[in-house]
Amino acid sequence: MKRKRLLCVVLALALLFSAQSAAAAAEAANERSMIITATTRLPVIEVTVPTTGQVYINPLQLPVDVYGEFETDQIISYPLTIANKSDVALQVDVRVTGAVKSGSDMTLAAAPTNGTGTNKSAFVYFEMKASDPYDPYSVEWDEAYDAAKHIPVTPGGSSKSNVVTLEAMSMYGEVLGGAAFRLTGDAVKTPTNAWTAKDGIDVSIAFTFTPIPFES
Amino acid sequence: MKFMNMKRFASTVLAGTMALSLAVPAMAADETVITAAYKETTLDVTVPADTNATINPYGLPVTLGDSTTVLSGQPITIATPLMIQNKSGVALKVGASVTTTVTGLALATAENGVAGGNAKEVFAEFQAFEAAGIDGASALDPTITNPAWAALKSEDAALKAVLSSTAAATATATGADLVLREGADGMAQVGGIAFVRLSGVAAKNPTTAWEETDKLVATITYSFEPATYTKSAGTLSTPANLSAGAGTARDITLTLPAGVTPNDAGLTWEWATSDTADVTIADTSGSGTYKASITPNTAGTFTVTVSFVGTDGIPYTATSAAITVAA
Repeated sequence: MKRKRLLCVVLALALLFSAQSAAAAAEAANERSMIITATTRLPVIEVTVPTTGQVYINPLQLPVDVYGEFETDQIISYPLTIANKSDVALQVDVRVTGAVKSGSDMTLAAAPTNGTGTNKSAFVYFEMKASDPYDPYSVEWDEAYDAAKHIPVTPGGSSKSNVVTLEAMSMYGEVLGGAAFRLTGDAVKTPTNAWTAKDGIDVSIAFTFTPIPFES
Repeated sequence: MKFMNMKRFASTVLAGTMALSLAVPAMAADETVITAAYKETTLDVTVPADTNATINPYGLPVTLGDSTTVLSGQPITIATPLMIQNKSGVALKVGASVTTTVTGLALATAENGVAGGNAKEVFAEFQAFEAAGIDGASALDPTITNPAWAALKSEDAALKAVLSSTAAATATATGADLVLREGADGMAQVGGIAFVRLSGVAAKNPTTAWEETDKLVATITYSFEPATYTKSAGTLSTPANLSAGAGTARDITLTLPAGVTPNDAGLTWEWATSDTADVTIADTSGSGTYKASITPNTAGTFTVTVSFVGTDGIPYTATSAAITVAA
């Protein structure tokens, strides 16, 4: 019993001394230490995107009232905007898919019709430009279809990368990055089968936003 | 009385011998006993407290405490200036060793290819810089320290260590050692403070996306050794066509670094040669020109060193290249 107690005391002392020497070894008199813990910060991506829009097929170029102004284009849509409320700039990729409405015998052309032809066909394309986040009417739209910039509305869907770049929100919460978009195009003016109220299309527009790193 | 046995006798003799051997020095009247014991010197140096950093793959802007200084585009961001301050009575050479653990990411050993790569990795480096122009008082002023902190550039770091999760990384000097000037009146002087930080590059769009749980923890152990604090005084010319003997004096001229001004050219200049026996040197400075006349007496090679104190109170020194004297 006495031997066991002695052994315990000796072991306890040995542990004490070893702990002290380890602490001393960890930081000598001429050493100091600190810890930096780096955790990952991810951007908050928040973009206001309209849920619905309207487009008119107007083959005969009748005057259509668009917010008080009469438009006579063959494809007329109300321009819409997206607004970047993220803390990072975003690259915008777009995929556009069209579908002819049930009951319609019209088709979606893959190239401009220039208003001529006999098939009941419309060429509709998507156009997007950087703009004031809240004023889609501040945009100067292109005069004509440009395959390098615009996306045709087709049943199978078409995509384009980096259509626009949305500036990040300012540090003071000011939304700076906006883009306006519209659908436009042309249609065969007098097809063999006349245009009717049953004709129309549904267009789905999918936006993909990719953060653009800040440069130092 | 019974005579003690042999073992006891031997013990007694040994004990007596040991006692006498200890007593001898004390009895010797004409000897000096010097007892040397280790005396621990406490260095008055402060290092930053444990702190947080951000792995910031997109370089999102971070506003520092003064609300005006913004760090943007830094893949590793620390939002508070981190400083080592030497308040000790001696100048100190700084060393550092970093051990790192990571969660959810890997540490790259080289910077190239990380930013645009597919792997979720970070090239992280510990860096230390002399905090130019900042003393213990101005170190408390964020309008001074924050802009200086934001202006740090990796290529200017005096000490660097590439972080590794497999081994401790020892910082190496990129040029001269990082020496912190001695303190005065318990405060760090200009030259006595260093900024320290983690910097690096992070993959911007790795195949496996970044998560907020991805992190690294770096434990930095600083070591300090007494050293001599001087700054470069610039460049000394190398006089040519020197030959031994009287009448062969040549000028050696100092070109000062930008922003360095000798405090008192007439009083604080010190010119010296590595060959004090065979080369004489005399200050001939004047009118904004800093030079000395050297006269070699024998053939050989030597160097010239000039020292002075600047108007900023910092000691500066420069040593020439080897100067050859023909026979």
